[in-house]
Amino acid sequence: MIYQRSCRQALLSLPLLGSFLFFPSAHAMQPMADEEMSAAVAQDGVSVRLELLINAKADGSPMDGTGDEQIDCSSATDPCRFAMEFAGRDDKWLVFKGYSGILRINDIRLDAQAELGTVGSNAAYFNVAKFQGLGGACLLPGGCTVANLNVSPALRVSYPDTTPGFVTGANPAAQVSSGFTSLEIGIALDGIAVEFGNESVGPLANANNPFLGLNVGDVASATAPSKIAIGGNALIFGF
Amino acid sequence: MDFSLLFKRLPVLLAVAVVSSPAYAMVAMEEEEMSDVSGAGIAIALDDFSFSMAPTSYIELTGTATALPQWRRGDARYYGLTLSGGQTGAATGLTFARTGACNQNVSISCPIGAQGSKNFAPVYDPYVLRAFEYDGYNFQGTFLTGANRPTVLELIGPSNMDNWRWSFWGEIEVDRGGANQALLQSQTIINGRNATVDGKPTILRIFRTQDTPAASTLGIAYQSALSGDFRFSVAQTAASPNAREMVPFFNQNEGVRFGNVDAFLPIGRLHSQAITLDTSGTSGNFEVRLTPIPNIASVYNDIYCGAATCATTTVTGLDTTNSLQAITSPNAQTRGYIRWGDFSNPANYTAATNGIRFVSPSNVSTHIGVARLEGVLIQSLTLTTQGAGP
Repeated sequence: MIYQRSCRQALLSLPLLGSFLFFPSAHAMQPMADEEMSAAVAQDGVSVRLELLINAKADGSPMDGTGDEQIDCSSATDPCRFAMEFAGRDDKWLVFKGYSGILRINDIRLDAQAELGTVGSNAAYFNVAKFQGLGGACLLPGGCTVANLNVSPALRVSYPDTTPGFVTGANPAAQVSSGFTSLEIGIALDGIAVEFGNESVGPLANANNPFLGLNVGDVASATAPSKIAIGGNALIFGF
Repeated sequence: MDFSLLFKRLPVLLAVAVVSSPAYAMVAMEEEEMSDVSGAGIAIALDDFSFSMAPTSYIELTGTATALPQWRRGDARYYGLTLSGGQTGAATGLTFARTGACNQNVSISCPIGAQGSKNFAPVYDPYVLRAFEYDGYNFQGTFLTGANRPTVLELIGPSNMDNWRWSFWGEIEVDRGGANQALLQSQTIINGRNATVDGKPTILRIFRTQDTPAASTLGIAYQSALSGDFRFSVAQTAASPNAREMVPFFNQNEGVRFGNVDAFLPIGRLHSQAITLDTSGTSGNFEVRLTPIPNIASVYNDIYCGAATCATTTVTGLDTTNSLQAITSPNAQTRGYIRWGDFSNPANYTAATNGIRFVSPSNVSTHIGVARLEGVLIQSLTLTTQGAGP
């Protein structure tokens, strides 16, 4: 899901982009004037939200076969697994049982930083060698100086500021973390086990006990994903 | 480079790329094209950076019950992984619970910085990903220079940056649900930076090994650099719940502390030693190997001394009846070290914030001085998987 911080411009440009994607052969490309482009595209940056679910419901909990779900991770046959067989180890499987996961990246922002100097706070860190090529030649257009770097542009990736907080409670479920909204990661892996048999038997077998499991979550509930706050800017520039 | 124009046109460029991408097949590059390396790269600066997992969020490794009487189930959880600013002073530090006392004037008392790390990777010394070329001996002892130099893809970290603070609190639990159930909660804090005190950065290099053409393979060289203060503590305050999954209030002083740690570990040397991956035997095993230093004088002299010949000096220790030959001028680029404390001035060996010490909850310090490992250079290391079956 992609939306723009400048909603007015987003609404104008998204249908146009959609028509490019769906009817590539029906319309010849038309050149745009600079003025048109500067008025219609994402000059204010874009905001991206990404969600990835594996064997999981929208809240991050494992699929349980209810509603429209086709699989039930808790069933005896446990379809939520994958298995690995290494070369030369025929019919010996490392089986990852009962896995599900959720990854949500909320509101990551892509924007332009017009001048690096507005975020650069300590010129004493200037390391000229980082911007020199083979033989020591300067690769920064305009010269390898702090002053030139200060007026150079960059791509900026950032998260909106949040104020993380925490409220104590009498039990784990009553403890509440708030403001950790940049990133949510939930992983459940009931266990890893070694199983034997051909490819139609080994990966589905439950003959041996698992020896290690992995969970990434939050004490708020057994299926709540972990919550993470990210702050600051990543500035990416080429030279 | 005018990025503003690029951003204005980005959606149009993306649309064009999506529509027209089937028209262009991938074209292999010629060796001559690849050798046209200028050293230009992509720079990534991280400004005011912080990463905070909620104090109630965790990564858990779960064990399993066992029938063996001498074994117990074990579980481990790591909560609240946080990378934040390493500043000290008023309004700079927080506890995991965001309330409660910690000494904000001490770098490793508060686990969480109230601000981000302003210059985590400064715009003036950013991470740089680039293709580069370096002089060096190959595995056969030929010195590669000029046009013969192989191209290396490298990611170089900053040489100088603000300190950051890395922390988490942990739970180790034994025999969950059993008669011998026990729990230990702890916190770990590092206030430092990923460069050495003298400014050697962290570097990852990927390249094609310069062996015979038939045996060339993927080579990796890594230079690890870390410096700062470390603390591991377990004492909690009287108000702390001290129960599983409950965010603890840790004492602000207690713990084992390492002050002014400085660690440098270079692994691999261009172009005569590299980490390689290979198969082992014919039954599916594989090996990860730091290749042995070639037994060629020009190569090992370069690695040990940074010169074609190695001058040595007779060194006599406290026991004057014995002496040995030591390299006069070791190669600082290949000589790793780990120093637990600042060795620059003997008068500071037991200074309050230097070296290794144990601190009580009431802030009584037992100082055991400074320690160091010098001259760490791995000649060869091979990790081979061995299947238990045929």
